[in-house]
Amino acid sequence: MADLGIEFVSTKILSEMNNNEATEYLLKVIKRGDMIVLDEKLDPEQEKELFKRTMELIDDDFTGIEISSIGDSETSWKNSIIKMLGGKTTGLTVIGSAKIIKKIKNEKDKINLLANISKKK
Amino acid sequence: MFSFLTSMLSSLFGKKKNVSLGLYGAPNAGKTTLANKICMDWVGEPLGTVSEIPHETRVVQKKEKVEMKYDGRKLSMNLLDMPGISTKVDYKEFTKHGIKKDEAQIRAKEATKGIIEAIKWLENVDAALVVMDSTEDPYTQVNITILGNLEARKIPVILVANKTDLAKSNKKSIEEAFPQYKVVPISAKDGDNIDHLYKEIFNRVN
Repeated sequence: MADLGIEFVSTKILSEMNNNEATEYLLKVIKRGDMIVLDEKLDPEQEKELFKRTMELIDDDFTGIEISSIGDSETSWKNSIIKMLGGKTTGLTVIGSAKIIKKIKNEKDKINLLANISKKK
Repeated sequence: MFSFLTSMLSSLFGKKKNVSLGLYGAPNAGKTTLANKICMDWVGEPLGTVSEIPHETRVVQKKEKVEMKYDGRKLSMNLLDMPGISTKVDYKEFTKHGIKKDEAQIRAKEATKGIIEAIKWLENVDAALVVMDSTEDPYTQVNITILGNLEARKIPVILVANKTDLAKSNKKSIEEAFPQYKVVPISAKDGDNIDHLYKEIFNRVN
C-alpha cells in the first residue's frame, strides 16, 4: 500500500516568495505525489497562476491538480483591511494531484476529500 | 457642444463602443451553445461547434461587432467564447469518447493551451457571463477562481444558470453558492428565458 504525505504549510512561507516561486513550490510538492494543506485561502491572482502553471506542466503522467479552499474571499473588504494591516485571514486550502484525489467537495465551511493512494506513483 | 459633453461624459464613465463580453465557465457548461444562440439571434450565424466531449472549444472563439438591441437601446460587442477552464486534463478521458490515443494526446495538449489562453483573457474582458451547468454542484474551485479574478478587477459579471431544460436543473443551488451575483436561469439549447439574459446584459454592461 502506498503512503500519502501531507504537508501542512503556513502561508507565511508563501508570503516570503513571489507568485512564481510560490506556485513552483506548491507544484513541486504536488508532483511528487504529496498533498498540501495551507492555513489560508490563496488569493485569486495566486490561484490563477497556479492554474496556468499546472496547465503548462500537464503530460501523460501528471494530469493536473484538485484544489479546494474555504474562507472569505480575498477581495472582501474585511480581508482587504486585515491584509493591509499586516494581519492574517482565516481559511484553508487543500491541493493535491488529480491522480490521487478521487473526489473533492467544497461545502463552504468544510471540505470533503476522497483520495485513492493506490494510484500514487 | 452637446455632442462634446456626451462624448466627455461617456469617456469619463468608461463606456466603450465595442464591449468585450467573455463567456467563462467549466468545460461542458454550455458556453458555446449560448454563444451560438446569441450569434444566431443577432448575427444570423453560429460561432462554434458544440460537442458532448469535454474541451471541444480549445481556442478563444471571437465574433466581432455583435449588435444587440433592447428597449430602444443598442449595444455593440465582441463576443468571446472561452475554452472551459479546468485544473486537470487527462488524455484518457478523450479515449473514453472513442478518440484514438495519439489524437487524444494532441487534444489534451491543445486543451491545456486553451485553458491558459482563457485565463490570460480574464484581464482583458470588459464584462463576463459565467456559465454554470445548473444540474451540477456550482461551488467548485474553478468557478470560485474565475469569479474571484473578475471581482478583483471589478469586471461586471452575470451568472448564467444553464440547462434549465433538464429535470435535475437547480438554479437555487447557484444562487445559494454565490448570493452576491445576479443569476439568470436559461436553456441555451432551447432559448428559454434568453430575453431575460439580454435584458440583464444591457443593464449590467451597457
